[in-house]
Amino acid sequence: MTDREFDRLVTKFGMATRPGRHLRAEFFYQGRKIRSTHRSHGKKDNPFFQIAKQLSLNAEQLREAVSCTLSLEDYIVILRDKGLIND
Amino acid sequence: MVTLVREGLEQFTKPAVAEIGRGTAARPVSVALPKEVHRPICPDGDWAKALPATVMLGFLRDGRLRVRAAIEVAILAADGQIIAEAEELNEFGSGDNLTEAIIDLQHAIAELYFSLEEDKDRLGPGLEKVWAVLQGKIEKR
Repeated sequence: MTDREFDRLVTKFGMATRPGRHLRAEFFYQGRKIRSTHRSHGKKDNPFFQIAKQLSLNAEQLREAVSCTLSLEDYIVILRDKGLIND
Repeated sequence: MVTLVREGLEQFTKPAVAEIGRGTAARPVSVALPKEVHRPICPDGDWAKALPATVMLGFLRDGRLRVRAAIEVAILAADGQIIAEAEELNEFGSGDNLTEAIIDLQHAIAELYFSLEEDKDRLGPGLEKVWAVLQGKIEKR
């Protein structure tokens, strides 16, 4: 996953970022920190499957998220189905 | 072609330098290897086979943190990168070689620790579990 794709995902899911050695991106829902992932600075590629796993997505879902066919609402449903969001 | 010999004080022969493109006048080089030297041999060029499957991580490169129980790290190769993955923490590092990947992971774990600590009272169920594992493995100095 390129830095640009990662950043697009961060924007799409409204993730909070914190700078550091890595760019850490955190997904909050109703005030709770639900998922956390990161990318390195300046690398050509970031490990796709590891980022998918940190976001609790499979590879196909992450591809869809990057290509805009999986929305934020879809993502929340996935997290809820996995018991990672308690409403 | 480089031939590596595992046993004894035998020799391996490097190619004439011409073979690797530096000219034509060089002589072959012979190097004696002591008996205990063992190098991974990857005749098909698949260097990933020489990687360990797992390593145990006993410190982080952060003076504020101490590892009190070693963290198991799986080593993978993908897309020309080495990935060091701490599955119990759902955290990873990556790099062009094993050392880079492990250093990257050490920094990532330290960042994760402080990130979760900051929001420890408002973590979702998944990250609550990760925070519990982190507290068991790592302590502040």
